[in-house]
Amino acid sequence: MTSHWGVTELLVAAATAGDAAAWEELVDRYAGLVWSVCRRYRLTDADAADVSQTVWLRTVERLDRLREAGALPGWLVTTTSRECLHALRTARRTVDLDENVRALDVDAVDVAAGVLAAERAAALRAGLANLPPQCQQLIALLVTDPPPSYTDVSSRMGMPVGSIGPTRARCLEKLRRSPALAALMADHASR
Amino acid sequence: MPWWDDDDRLLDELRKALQTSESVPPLVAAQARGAFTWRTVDEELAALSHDSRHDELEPTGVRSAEVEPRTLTFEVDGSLLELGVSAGGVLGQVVPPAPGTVELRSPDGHTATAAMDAAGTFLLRPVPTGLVRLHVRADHLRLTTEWFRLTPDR
Repeated sequence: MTSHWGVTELLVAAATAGDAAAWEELVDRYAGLVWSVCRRYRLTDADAADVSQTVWLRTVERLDRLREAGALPGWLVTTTSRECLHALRTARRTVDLDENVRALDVDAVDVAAGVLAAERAAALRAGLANLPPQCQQLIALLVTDPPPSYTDVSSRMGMPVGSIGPTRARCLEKLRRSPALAALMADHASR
Repeated sequence: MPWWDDDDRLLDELRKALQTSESVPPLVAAQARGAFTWRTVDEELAALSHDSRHDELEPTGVRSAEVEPRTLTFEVDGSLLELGVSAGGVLGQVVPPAPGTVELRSPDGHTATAAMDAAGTFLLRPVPTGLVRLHVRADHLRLTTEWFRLTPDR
């Protein structure tokens, strides 16, 4: 996975310089990735929480060494995997070798996909947060599971049923043109 | 066609994106954000260069009989910190030796302090559990370790 100087690298540089908001943005982007690795090792919620805390504390320690493009997500996955194995080992006196082998089978493609998904999710959330309130509200309604009927949406938004479709299209187009999505699209093109 | 160009696919991805952020427990995310307060500025951390526990674990991960005391070595900038861990406590030795204080810190804010004598030795009791780090302060020496664990069983 090639990468150029993207949002993550800028955030790492800012956090290294002391910007707490940049750090929080990094956590928002990648906490899900760390958590999903813990899930893959089938850790309990309590153990996963411990692993997560350890991983982020260690990340703070070596932030200045993670400035290169692509370094942070790779570091997060490697470190989380290592801590998960440590948690599994110390949770039991003997280790089932087969289970260990299964746990180690963290597919490279799987990892790359996890990182891409994390970056995509972060960009989408960032883009959404900068849309006008009406768009945010509409999209939030439209993505609920199960999706509401347009009649429901109409009464919730105080909007005629006929205008929902066009408004939806307009809001999604605004999202497409947002800086966060533009960065993601450019990143995607360079890979 | 890229996923973002299709309205339905874009909405699907938005749904997934919002679900991802909801799956991480709020407390876990909050702790992760809070980790930033542990940032050390203008100080290189002493890294764990040796841990006798790593020698004990056989390749399959089965632990051989516990060898006491467990020893850990941290190094930075020509300074050395050696720890000997046993049931009784943590015996530490700083090189070059100097009198001062040693503070033990946990991510939850818990601290413990021990005096360091002229020979650079100190004793911390009881053995702390969970993730910890040590801050060594003497006249001409200032050393902060990376995060590490001392409990035999996490």
